[in-house]
Amino acid sequence: MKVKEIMRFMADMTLRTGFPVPVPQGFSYKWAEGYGFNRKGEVMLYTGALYQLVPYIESLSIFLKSIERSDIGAFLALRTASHLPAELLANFLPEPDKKLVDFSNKTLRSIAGLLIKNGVEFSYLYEDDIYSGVLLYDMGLVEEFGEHAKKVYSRLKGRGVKKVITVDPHTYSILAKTYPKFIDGFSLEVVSYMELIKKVTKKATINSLTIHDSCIYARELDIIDAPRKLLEGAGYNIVEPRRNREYTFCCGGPVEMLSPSLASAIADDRMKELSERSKNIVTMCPICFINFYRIRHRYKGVEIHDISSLI
Amino acid sequence: MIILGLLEDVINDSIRFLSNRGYQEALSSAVSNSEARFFNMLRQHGDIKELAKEVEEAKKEVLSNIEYYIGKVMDSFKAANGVAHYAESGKDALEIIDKIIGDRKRILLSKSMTCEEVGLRKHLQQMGKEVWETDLGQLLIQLEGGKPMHATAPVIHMTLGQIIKLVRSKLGMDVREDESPQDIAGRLRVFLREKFIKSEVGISGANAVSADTGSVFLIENEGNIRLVTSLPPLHIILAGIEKIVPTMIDALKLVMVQSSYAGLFPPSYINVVSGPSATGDIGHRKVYGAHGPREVHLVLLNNGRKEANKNVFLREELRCIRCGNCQILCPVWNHVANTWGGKVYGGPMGVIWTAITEGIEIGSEVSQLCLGCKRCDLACPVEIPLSNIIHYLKTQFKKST
Repeated sequence: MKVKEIMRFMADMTLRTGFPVPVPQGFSYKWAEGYGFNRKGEVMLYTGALYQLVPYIESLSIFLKSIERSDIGAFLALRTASHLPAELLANFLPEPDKKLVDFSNKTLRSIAGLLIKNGVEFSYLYEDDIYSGVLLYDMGLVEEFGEHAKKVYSRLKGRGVKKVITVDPHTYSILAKTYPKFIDGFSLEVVSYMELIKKVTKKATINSLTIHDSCIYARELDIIDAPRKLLEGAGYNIVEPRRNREYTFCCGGPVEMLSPSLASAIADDRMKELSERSKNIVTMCPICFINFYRIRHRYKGVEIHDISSLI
Repeated sequence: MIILGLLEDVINDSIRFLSNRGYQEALSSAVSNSEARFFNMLRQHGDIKELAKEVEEAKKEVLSNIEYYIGKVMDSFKAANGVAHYAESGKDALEIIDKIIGDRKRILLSKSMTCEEVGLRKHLQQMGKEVWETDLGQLLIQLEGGKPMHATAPVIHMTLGQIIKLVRSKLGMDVREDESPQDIAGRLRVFLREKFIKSEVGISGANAVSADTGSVFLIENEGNIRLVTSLPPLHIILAGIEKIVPTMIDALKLVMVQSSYAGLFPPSYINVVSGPSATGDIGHRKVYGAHGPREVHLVLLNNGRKEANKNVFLREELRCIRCGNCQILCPVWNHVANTWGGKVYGGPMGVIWTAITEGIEIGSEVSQLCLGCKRCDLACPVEIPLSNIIHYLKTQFKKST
């Protein structure tokens, strides 16, 4: 019952506000302040706000933990929140972790910088950079997902977009593989920013690192060599973990809402085997990042890096 | 009114399992060994993938003509002097088996998930029979009173210490703390020997049933299946209709693939049963029950399988050969084993088997714990799109009450 309540809440929120959890106005494009990107164009950066959402999803999960024991509490709280006006919603959850907000904004600026330095011309959506709806689809809420996907697609098309640059595996996969099943005449080319970068802009400052392949990149999109080439290009020595490439092991993130203890046990399995290889762990997905970030205190001296910050 | 659903029960069970240090230790070491065996197998027997492709095709052939093949198996089994039955539901299977057993009392089982599915052991015990599991792992499950925690390794979650405690408390054996696995196996062997000699009925499942000859294939390493299917005068086989393959060659390929992906290749024993034991040596007349069983019955079980075969998603799971490799490769299963699933089955394949045998509504509840990481898809020898089917079950969750 509680799970259905959470699912309903996220679906309602997405359809109402464009995002699955309560967020402050303008949070998704705050990172782009000062860039002055074009707002229209054939090549569009679409972040799907997954990096930006991470601190707020974390706040929701902290909130849910606080009412974990009370089914009625969860029921009432989520129902009430569903009906709050948008401007009050942001106060509904605990303040997001500032470090996480910084991480998200910094990551997106690194990615934009890499694209610019590689001569990739692109526009940005600003207020239309809303969530892709991937979580709704993953939870099986396909009708709500379909409705939201149409909204995202029409915003992209409304800006004359033909090619979309994505920054995370979930947004890439849902756009490239799932949107076409829900949208008649879907016509967008989807790429990852990693596929567009020919020359890296940084030089390795750490000795060696280990790589955590994203399940979606490795098993759905066959993006396995691209991140390795980029890291090697910057001069890093990659130490492969025991389970890598298409057999990569999940970070546990997707079950965080249902069972935080299970998610954390899975993250521990993975962190353990990664940190045995190197103290520097590279992720390429914000969900993987947050799931390791959450348990980082158990691994002394271990640092988690988003790939964009290293190249 | 707000009530906790099945999903919340599954989550709570999994948290209990997670907090049992012994279970976590045992699972973690078993999983990494099994995973390593799987990768080794792929390196050493790469050709097994071709065989798996043939098995996949054989299964697809049967599933697209299921009625024809059920009829063919029944005819072939009868032609081999066995008795063939068809059970629409688990309850029907129990009634049929009751009738076959009649007044016989001492019954041995050989570890079968299909027997678990219909609740055979508990049912027979309620009928006043003396029933023993003979697979050592499954015997421990009987003693524990729980459910098998893996498709082929039922006590994958138990440490040696937990097993010693169990054997002590349930069988009253004076087992010392420092006894080795070899010692314990020896004790259980002695315990079961006497049961084997006195048994009146042996009940097994099947890994494959060939339609052309009505032969039942069973693989194992312990040797208990040999005894269960040959010592008692009556042998009953309970097999889901999805176990049918067109030919005996297909059945042999299937057990080779199954044991490879279960990390047990080559299996110590491959048993083939085509009808009862017979001899023509005495007076040139055929006599049944020479050394093995005089009577062999095959009970083919539907229990939701035909319905599933009409569902474009679920039908793909019917070619599952129950190797359990998707469980080994699944991050969620790695921590909660078969507590994640329904009454009987667990893990990626188990969620789907729960939907097939207990209903889509129940399957949809338990499906939610899937990460969607798609690692299970790589594990499956017959290329069942497990993650896609589980996603389909998730879409049915909202509809369940």
